[in-house]
Amino acid sequence: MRKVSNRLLILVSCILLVLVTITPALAQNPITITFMGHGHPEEHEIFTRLIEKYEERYPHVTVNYINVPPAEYMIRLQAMVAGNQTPDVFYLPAGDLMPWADSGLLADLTELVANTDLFDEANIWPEALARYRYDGNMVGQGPLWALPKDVGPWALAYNADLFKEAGVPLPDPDVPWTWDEFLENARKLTRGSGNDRKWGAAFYTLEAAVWANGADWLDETKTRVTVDDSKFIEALQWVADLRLVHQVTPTREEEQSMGGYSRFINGQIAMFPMGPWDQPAFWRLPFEWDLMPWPVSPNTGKNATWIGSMGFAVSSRTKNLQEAFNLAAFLALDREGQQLNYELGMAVPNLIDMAETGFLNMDKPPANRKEFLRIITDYGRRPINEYTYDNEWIDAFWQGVDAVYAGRKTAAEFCKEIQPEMQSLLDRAIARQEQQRQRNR
Amino acid sequence: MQTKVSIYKQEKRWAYLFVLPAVLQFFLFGAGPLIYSLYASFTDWNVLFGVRFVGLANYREILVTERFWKAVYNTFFLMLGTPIGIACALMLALALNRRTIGSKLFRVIYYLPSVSSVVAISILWTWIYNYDYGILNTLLRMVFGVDGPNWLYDPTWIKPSLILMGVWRSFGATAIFYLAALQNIPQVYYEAAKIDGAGPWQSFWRVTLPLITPITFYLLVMGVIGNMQSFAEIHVMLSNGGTEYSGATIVYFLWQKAFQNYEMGFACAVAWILGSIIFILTLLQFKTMRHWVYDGS
Amino acid sequence: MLTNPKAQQRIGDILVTILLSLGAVTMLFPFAWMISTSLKEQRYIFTLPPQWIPDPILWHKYIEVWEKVPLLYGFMNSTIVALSVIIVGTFTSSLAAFAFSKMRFPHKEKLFMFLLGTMMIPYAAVMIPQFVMFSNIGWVDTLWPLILPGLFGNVAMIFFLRQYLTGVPTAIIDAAKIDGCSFFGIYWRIVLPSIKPAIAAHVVMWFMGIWNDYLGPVIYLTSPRKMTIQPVIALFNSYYASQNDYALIMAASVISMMPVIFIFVFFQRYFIESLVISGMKE
Repeated sequence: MRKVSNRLLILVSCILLVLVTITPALAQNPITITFMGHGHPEEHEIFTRLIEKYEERYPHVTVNYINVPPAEYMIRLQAMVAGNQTPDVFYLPAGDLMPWADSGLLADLTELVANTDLFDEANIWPEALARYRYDGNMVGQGPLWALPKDVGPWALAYNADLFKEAGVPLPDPDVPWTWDEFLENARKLTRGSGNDRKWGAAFYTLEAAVWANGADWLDETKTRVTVDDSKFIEALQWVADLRLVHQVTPTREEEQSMGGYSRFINGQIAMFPMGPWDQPAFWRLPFEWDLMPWPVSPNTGKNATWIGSMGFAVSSRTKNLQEAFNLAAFLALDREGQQLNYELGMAVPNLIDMAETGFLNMDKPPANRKEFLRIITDYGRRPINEYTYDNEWIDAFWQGVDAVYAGRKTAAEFCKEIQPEMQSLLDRAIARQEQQRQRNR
Repeated sequence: MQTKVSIYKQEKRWAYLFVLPAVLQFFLFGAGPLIYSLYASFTDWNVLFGVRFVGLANYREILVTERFWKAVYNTFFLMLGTPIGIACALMLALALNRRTIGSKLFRVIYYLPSVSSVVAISILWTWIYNYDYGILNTLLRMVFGVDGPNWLYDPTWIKPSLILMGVWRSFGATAIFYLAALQNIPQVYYEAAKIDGAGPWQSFWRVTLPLITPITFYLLVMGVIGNMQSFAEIHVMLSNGGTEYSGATIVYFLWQKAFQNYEMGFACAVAWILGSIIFILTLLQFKTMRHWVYDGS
Repeated sequence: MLTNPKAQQRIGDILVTILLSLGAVTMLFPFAWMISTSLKEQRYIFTLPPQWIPDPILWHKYIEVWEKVPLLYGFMNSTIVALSVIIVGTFTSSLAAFAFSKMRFPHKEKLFMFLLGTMMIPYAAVMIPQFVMFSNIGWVDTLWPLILPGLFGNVAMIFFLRQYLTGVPTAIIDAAKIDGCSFFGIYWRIVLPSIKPAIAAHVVMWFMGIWNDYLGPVIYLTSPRKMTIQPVIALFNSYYASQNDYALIMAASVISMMPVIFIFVFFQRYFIESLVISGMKE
């Protein structure tokens, strides 16, 4: 009798087990979603974990995760689009949004975001989402084409030990220096010679100077190149002079021999710009470091810097739009994933409440973590190339600007000279945008 | 007479059979993509928007693009590496062919650079060429007391640096072809030359050099085809084509257009211009061949 | 005393050996650095003067590479591709080379230039159409796009063997023809043995090309189990380069080089010591 009841129990539990596993599968046909990215090993691991969690939650979905070396990622993506194998979910650099959105290859996520119960739109940094909006004319408005993988404020770090050695008081986390204060302190921090040589600063981020000075590469309509503006020229000359005149940064040759990153790591540079993704490496540093606010221009009293980002786009050709969107949402916004992300020092959480509590209260450097958040909410901007169809016009600038940094040309000479070339390249990009948009209609 | 004709007929049939796989390979795998890229060069094709016929617009635009001409100049400059590499390889092969002590080991050593991946080699040479910390400048300072140039950043030195690295990387491998060719020279020719009273120097000029011209010809033609398309090391070692675009080659330019700018049609036009240049150069080499290449008689 | 040819020979040999040794040092220099870097602690990598013998010597990077990277699959797949392509491809290429150099048929030169012409269009321009073609057949994420085209031969090898064959006297082949030997028989018994050194030399180069092929596999392969060696290493490099972990990158490079060196050592006796195999050179 006992035996029988035992057997019965086993049988019943077996049937139950089978039912439990089969039911959802019966309810929905099994489907496969392809996801392609270029995550480094740690990111790959986190995503693998998130994907497992996603598959548990949606048992009828299998995710095929393709990881490609970053340098060849865009090539592979283009090949797959051409071969009609566009991944359902894929990384899309924010700078490439315009042509992709115009091509009709991306699914419009506006509705899906409004209706999802996976996250609350109000809890995501508005700026993180805004850069993936594009109305066919201007980035920052209109339908949403991707979810943010991360939000990367470009902050200014300093080596506190070097400050103490040079007798320079540590920067106030709440009151930014002016450019003049920055220069003055950088001079004090630049000391020694040979292997003991220390520099006040690494090369100054040009965007931070130009924007702070109230100038920009493009005008408001993003159709005119404005590098010949006097405020622009002034900012560029100021950045070049830090090296050429004041010698508070490594020379051009020194920079080429060993980058600022390595010199900062070696404790030779007092102030160095960093992104959140630099944290894991900086946690291993033998000296104390923290973040300071970017200095303000004396002309405007304002500061500025850029915020980087990568997006998760969903293909408009996907057969399983909702599932693909859910996967993107999982990878971009799942609480567990976001937490892992910031605990490993890879990013600032996309979720506002998490950034303002868990992330802010972490007991690892930088102590002044709220500078990251301040950049996101207050003075960070989108990189300039996100507003245009291609990068050729700005590449021309970066290729030529070396002449100013080397002292062969003044900022004024260079900017006046390069403006027409940049303008014609930009006009070409705008013409292409116009053409392609018309074709698409 | 009868048999001769039938042998020729048979020979023709067999020959076609023997070259069939190579021809088939072209028609199965090569022809489609090639024809498509030729067609695409007359369109504004990109993977996002598909094709639209634009006639000669791409070609016209290429001719007025300053960066294209810079890339053409750089590409031809880098071609200097071909004859230099071949000359070095020949000397190396002659030395290795003497079979002195350790020549087996030497062969492996000289072959080493060509087996390692481009990425590893490029990291290595970026370090060698480093202005402050590189071994090259350190050596120059120690031995000659001069300050070396900023190899990979100074516009005048970028191309020579790339050539030097290219020669270093490939001449050991090229020497292997010569080694094989040296084996092909019957010993009797040398003996005959000796009987005629030729010293080692003369027998080199009169026997060795002429008899390896077929291989030299092969190396030249393939060197031109390969070096005209150099790309990988530039991609890895220089950012954005190097200071003032002075390291960018035609293929680098094409690559940027195709995959960073989504201008595949334009890139295909560049590819076909480059292909035509290489074809003309190769044809010229074949035309001049009979004047200097040994043909078995 | 220099009139003695034996003595002359010997002095020459000594001179050559000295020169070769000097050259070998410069060739090995970077590799010594590569290996020494792979054994160094991170903070000693960029010291001046460079530290040649690491102290302490750390082997763990090699273990780390082996653990972090699916190298074993990479080795296996690369070997599958290389072996199948080279064995079959050498056969088809040498047949074509024989036809192009020693047989008479119409349009020979034109056909040859045509084949050579296919190498003149940069891969970047045909890559996407080729991907579309293979993806329509359903070959993405299989080794077929890397293997199948190679089975039909290699234009570079055909060209090289053709050039090499000009050194083989046509008279022997003509004699065989008159004797009624079939063309395949001529190929098998006369041509093939006489071009063995050339084949060995080219195989070594070809193997290296396939082993170091990167772009093809990156475009066509997706699942880790099907990856060949170079994309696996690249995936790994791209991350560690940004972390400045050069020790790990160098360790991975050293490991990936090993098989090619092994192949070279194995084959070199063929292209060096196989003098006068058939006795037909005299």
